[in-house]
Amino acid sequence: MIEVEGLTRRFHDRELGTITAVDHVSFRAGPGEIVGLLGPNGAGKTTTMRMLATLIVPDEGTARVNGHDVRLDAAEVRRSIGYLSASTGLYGRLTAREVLEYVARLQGCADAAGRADALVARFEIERFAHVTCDRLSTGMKQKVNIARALVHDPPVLIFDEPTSGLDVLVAQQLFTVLEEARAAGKCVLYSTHIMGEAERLCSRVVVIHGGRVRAETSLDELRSRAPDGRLETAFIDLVAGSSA
Amino acid sequence: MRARAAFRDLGVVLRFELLQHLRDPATIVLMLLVPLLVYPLAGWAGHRALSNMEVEAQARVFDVAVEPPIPLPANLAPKPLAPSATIVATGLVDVAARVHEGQVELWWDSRSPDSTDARSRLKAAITEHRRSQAALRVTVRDEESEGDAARSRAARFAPLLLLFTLLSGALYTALDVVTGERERGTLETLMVSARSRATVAAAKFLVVTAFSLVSAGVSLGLGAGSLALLGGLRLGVGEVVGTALLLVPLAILVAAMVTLAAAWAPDFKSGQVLALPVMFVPLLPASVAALPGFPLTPFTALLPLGGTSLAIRAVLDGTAAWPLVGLALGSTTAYAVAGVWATARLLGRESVLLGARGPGERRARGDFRAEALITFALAALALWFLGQAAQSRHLLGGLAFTQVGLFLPLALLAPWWLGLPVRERLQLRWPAWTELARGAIVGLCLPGLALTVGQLQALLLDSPSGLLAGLLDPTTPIALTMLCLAILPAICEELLFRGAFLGLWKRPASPWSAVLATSLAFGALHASIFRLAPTAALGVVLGALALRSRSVVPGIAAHGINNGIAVLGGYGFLSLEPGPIAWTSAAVALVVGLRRA
Repeated sequence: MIEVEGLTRRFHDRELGTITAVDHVSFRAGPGEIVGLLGPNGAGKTTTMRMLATLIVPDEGTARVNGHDVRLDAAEVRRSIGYLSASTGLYGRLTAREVLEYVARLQGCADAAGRADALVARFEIERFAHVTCDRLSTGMKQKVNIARALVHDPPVLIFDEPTSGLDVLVAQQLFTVLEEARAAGKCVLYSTHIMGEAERLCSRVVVIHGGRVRAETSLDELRSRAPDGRLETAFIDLVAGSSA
Repeated sequence: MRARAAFRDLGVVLRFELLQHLRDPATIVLMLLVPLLVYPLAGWAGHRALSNMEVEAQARVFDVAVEPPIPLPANLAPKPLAPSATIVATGLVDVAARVHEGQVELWWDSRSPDSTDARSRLKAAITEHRRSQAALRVTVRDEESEGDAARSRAARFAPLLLLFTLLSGALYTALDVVTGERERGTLETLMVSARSRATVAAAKFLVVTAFSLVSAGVSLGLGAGSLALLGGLRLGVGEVVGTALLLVPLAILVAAMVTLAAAWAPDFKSGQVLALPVMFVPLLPASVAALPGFPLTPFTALLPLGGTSLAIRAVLDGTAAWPLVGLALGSTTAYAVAGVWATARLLGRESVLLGARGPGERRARGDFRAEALITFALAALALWFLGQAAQSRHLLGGLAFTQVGLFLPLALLAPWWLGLPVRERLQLRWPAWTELARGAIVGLCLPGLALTVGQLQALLLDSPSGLLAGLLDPTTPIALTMLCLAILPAICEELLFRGAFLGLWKRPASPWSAVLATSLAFGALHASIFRLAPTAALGVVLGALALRSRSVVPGIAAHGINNGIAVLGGYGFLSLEPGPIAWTSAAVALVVGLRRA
């Protein structure tokens, strides 16, 4: 479902010069699995996910999402994905339900209104479905945003640190949604720097640091690398080792 | 099918964009309440002011000279002078008229409101006299009825007001749909949908255009209503429809301009800072409609924003030559299409969509085009506020001060301030002798190029002759004139334009677009519509010389020789006239100067 090969992206900064944010990254994620993209802040997770979502163009390498090339067939890639990040926002002057209907129409859903109603019921947001989004709390907004990412029932979900700022109840609901997606055979790429989330959700992880892939392995194999058998220790050792 | 799908997609984005913007109180205030409240008040206040002025004007007594004498009202005082243009021009009388073989010839100064009012009164008196002497036939220039005068006054300011409402309706909307949405993250939400970026950009652009048009439409309706109710003047259907037609491409052009500015701004706050110049700058060319002496001609119809403003004025005051109005409509449409194209390109960039751009990132890529424009703006401001003042006190001294005291420091400071290697950016290096010789040959031929371009320009624009003659005083030693008009401009202007401006502009842009931008700036700084094209043409050749030789020196040589020849011509040592020699020189300048390395 997601095949990444040698993906590279550079940015320019006056003080720092040319920065290679993502440096020849390669990994795979298949249907029915949640792959964690683990890395500290600035590791290159968001840049990688933005390239997969066709928001930015890679300088080198290729990536295919649901069989579509991110450079050559960007519209089909976007039709195939549900993308959520800390910076995807909601229209403040539209109601929650209007946002869902709007995105359903944008994604070409045949029955956009019906789809919006179904998600309102599924995410239990009836109480504030007709309130404009700028009057919703952070948790309510993120609920609507998660529903927004799923509105067209995409086969691939790309979620970039989706729990930042969420309370534990909304986070639990998100985890449930993702587990249901996995059970339904969808491919989920989930970035986080919180080890507990990775342990709860992911079967495999790609550890990324300094723009490079440091490990692509199962959780059990990664844990076994640590003397204490903890994922956090293995992750710190990996990142510290690659920084040295 | 694809077109239908594209329109359907566009409709989806447009519907929700409009919905959420119509719920924004600020949009509604700017789009509807400003015209609804401001224009009736402004119209009422303007009408009161004009009425008071007319009452005052009626009470004033004007001096007239008429031959043979005719009965005059009490507010026209006859003077015993022979009627002529001279006595009007020198202010001895406000208006003069001579009756000769049944014809009446009138002289007045259209720039003087007193003279214009006096002319209207005298014309009424002559018409009254004509009724009593049926054989008399009156012919006057610029015939204008009393009732038309108020309409004419309103028509002068209507284009500015309409443009202001177009801008006020568009600006906030553009900032909100581009910069605001980028900050709020909704642009990213749109960009990860299956709709194309072109669809999203087109919908946003249409929203800006629609809000701008509604705002101006309300203004036009209110303006027409105010004129009818308060001034007793009725606009015909043709005048309203004609104005509305002209407003459509103007609104698209305005929407493109403000959307470009909004996309350029890295954040909403910067966009608000940009708002003032974005509102102010378009009003400058449009203000020609409010000025006397700017009729709608085949040339003025092509002026960006100015052409449409003149056309709207002509339509509203009932003096429209429809082919010229069509030309203004066509040129504005062409500018609008160019604006839409530029906007679409900019909105498609990921840096604009995701807000990754900023001065640091841009400069790191070597893109100093904004700084080049700022350098040019500073040079223009320094010239207009300091240079002109110095030149008005002492022409040659002021010219020398402008070059050495203003342009040269700017040229040197611009790259230094930006932390760039000054010598490298200014191309301060000695060139190969062949390049220097090329510069000398081009310099000898440049006067021919300027004359030829000026000759071609005269087909469109009636240029005054002797532009240089005004700068030359035959009693001044020629060496001093050479220093101030040839040597110093050659060094300082070349360092400013082919050094600093081209050096800052050329790295990210294609070489020829950099030369073109430099040439336009070079032409514009000479602050004369008549010198713009010839000077810009010289700029293209001088820019090509700098690109080829990688040195500013051949351009200095060419520029100095060109100006030196012009000075010699001004002193009468040479004859500089358009003709075969000038055409040949122009061809040689282009062939030798534009040849790429």
